[in-house]
Amino acid sequence: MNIKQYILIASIGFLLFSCGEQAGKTEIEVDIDPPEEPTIDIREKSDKITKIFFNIPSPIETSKILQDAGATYEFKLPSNPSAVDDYQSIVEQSLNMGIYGADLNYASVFDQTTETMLYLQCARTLGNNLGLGQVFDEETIDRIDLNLEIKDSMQVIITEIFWEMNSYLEEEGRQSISALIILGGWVEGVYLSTQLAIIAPDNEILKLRIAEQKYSLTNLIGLLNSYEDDDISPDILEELQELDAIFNNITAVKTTGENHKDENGVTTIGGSIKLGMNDAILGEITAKVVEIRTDIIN
Amino acid sequence: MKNLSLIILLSVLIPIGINGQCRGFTKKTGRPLVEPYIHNGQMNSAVLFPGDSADIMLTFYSEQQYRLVICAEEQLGDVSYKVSDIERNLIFDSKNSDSNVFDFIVESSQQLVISVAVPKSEHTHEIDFQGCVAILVGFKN
Repeated sequence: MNIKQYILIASIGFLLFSCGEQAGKTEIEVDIDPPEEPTIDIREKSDKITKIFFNIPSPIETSKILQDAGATYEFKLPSNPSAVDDYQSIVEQSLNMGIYGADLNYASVFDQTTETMLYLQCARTLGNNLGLGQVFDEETIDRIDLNLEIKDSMQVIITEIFWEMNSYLEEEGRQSISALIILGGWVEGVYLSTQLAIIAPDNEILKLRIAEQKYSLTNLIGLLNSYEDDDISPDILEELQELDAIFNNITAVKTTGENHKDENGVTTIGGSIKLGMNDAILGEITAKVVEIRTDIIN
Repeated sequence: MKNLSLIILLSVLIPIGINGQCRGFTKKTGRPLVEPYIHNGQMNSAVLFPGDSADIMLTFYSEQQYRLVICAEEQLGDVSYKVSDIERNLIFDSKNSDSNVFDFIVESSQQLVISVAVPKSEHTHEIDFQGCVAILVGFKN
């Protein structure tokens, strides 16, 4: 096989695997002798595996939950946008991308246009530093300019920006960076929730939403543990495990219920889980989250 | 020798291509199915082989309505999925509905496990083609 044939095969390979779903349907056809043995020995047939993934609600979802719980926008709570240039390492940039991302969603859901722009700029700066500058292309910037005052459209754009970042990281095999962004976003979401609970101590729905974070923390630790990577430091995991130990003091009483489907095809998954979290536990969670967040933003 | 050359070349090309393919596939095929729900912006996708399975553990809040979308590349065949609670009690099985979309509400916030299974290949040769499987979540109040 000469060099021209290599180039031809490389070109065909590139075209096949870079054209989205069509590529996946296409048989690989190259002009060579019929194979006597398996040619694309990607994996033995007998070698089957089960993959396990973890994920948690996104910051946009958490911000909506806060809004539904009757929370308010508090200007003093989100992270300082001026600090964006202080984050130099990839780990710092990734974690603070999550922090700013949560602040961006908080500002957007509560219709704070100036803050939305400020945190978008932070996300863009850190995105560039993390090699994700392509997400903020000209088209996206134009869409932001056109839709800045339209809350629903902005939320779609913000969601798309974070999806693009996430998917580029996955494509490039940098999932641990993605996990750190998720971690930063979750910490900021719980920080905002617990600080808002101090401002509104009688808001029981807000307290329930904080207690429910025990589920997300379990998944988050599972997610981080799935990456044997230097980016996920044992210190971060240890901090989260200490927080998890506090969350484990929350009691859960489960009552089974029936599932039913309505006329629109929506299934209601029945049953209730009553969580019990007293003020002491809430205080411990609040303090621990402040500690973790302070380590991230300073 | 020709075969060996091809194997080496494709082994370099395929990992790059498949990952990009998964992203493009999810964007073009999966995300439109989430509408009119708001996509939560998360990328849950994996490249799987026939016979593989994948479990994903997710948290869902009460008082939100969710749409779960499972999409898989055609070469993987009829990919099925199940939704179970954390104690593995079955809630939904796609084999009973023939749909890759599941709309639901949880009365109480909880973790659910989504289990995706790729059917075994019917080919007699010892090679399987991999493909992308994407799990997407949308929500609305």
